[in-house]
Amino acid sequence: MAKILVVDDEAQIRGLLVKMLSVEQHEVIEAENGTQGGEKYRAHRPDLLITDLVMPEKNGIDMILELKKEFPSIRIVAISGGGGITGSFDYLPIAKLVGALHILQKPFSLQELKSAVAEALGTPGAR
Amino acid sequence: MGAGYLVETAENAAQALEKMDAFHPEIVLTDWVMDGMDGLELCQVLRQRKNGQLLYIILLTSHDAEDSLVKAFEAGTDDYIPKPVTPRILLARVQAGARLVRLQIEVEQARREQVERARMAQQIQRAHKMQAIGKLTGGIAHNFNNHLAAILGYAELAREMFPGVGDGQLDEFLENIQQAGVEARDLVVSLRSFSSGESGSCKIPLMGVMLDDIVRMLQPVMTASTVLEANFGQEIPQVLVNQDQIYQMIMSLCINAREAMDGKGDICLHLQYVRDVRASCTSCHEWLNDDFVELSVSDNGRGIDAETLHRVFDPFFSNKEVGQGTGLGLSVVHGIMHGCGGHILVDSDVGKGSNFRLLFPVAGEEMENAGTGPAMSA
Ligand SMILES: [Mg+2]
Repeated sequence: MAKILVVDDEAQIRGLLVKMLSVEQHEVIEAENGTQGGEKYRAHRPDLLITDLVMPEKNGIDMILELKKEFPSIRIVAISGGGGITGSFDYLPIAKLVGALHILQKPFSLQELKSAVAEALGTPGAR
Repeated sequence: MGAGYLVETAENAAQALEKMDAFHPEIVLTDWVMDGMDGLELCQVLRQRKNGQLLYIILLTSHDAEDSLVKAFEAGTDDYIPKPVTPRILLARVQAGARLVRLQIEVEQARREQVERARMAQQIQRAHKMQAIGKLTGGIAHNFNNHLAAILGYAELAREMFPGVGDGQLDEFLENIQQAGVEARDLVVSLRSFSSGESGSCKIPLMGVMLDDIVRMLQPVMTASTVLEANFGQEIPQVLVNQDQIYQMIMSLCINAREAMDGKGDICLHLQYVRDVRASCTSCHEWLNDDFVELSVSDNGRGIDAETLHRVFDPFFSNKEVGQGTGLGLSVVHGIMHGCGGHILVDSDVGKGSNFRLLFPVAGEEMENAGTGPAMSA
């Protein structure tokens, strides 16, 4: 029963994650880009941040870099369809590089998400 | 002859033919009337043998009637000198021949260069095409994966939340949706691995093309201005690298550079061929004395002091300093560079900035075929 912030520009994906996480009794907050994600993280101080990487306004990597500076032990799970729309390169390894505890390639299964969330929440982290 | 020509002599046509292969003359002066094979026959034989090769034949003759001369030219002679031959006329005609030979050599060289340029252009075009295909499939894959995440996710969720609805028929329908979704997902994976040519290391003839792409991709991640200064002026030899690893290293170095500058300043990517590098590798300390293809990432940030520079490649260093903006992923850079036989040089001045120079060994001819990945050969 943790507080989780979900950031993704696709409403369908956000809806799916909200549903999946609510079934697990988590409290879920949503944001649709990096700017909103940063604001909501500061306002709500969730236990976990699940974020997409390719988003308009502010991308996930930028948001992670900013939040990581403010909250060094922030817990992050990054999700992405891989290969940004601008090229064939994959942002997921970069998310790992800048501090995501887990990275999930879309599409992921319910089980993959559950265990990534459980593991990330189990990782010691101060707010 | 005393006029700067290398001269070989032969007493008859047979001897001349014997000497041809060792001497490789550009100009042949031959008498017409000789014992055995005569000058005209020699001409014909040489034209057959030396087909396509440069050879200027001058016939010395006293047969200067029109019919005879026409016969001589038909046999393949380029010029003739009527007897008696004076040194001045001989030298003048040899010089005229040499002029023609030189011109022909120049034309041939220009033609060869033209062919080489066309081949290079084709290679560049192919690299660009493969890159465009990769980009296109990357974009399609990204969007597909987002849609598939929704399709597969909701189907899975529905099965979990509403089991047994409609005598299990809903389960069956959902299972079909999931199966189709998984097949589509696998298709995306194979499409992408085809386009990116997942071949481990592959020969990169033009790292500049790739750098352009990386810089474009870096822009949204960089608040600082990023300047690409790929040196295309000189030819950059091929190196054997894994594209993803290059990408990962540049990304790490750029993120570090950006942090070192607090988001303000210039990051320069520079690609060049450096000859005769004599220095000690900053991370493995091996003494280097070789030519390399250098890819450098420099910034005008706060720099690294000598004491810290000593430890930045330590695998545990980055863990200690996460969030500090220094040393992020440098042990990975160390591993990748030394894994491909390369080295790293770091120049850094506190307060002025750092320059991380990745030195790649130049790929030899024998590596060329072994390393050609599908991305380049397709
Ligand atoms: Mg997105």
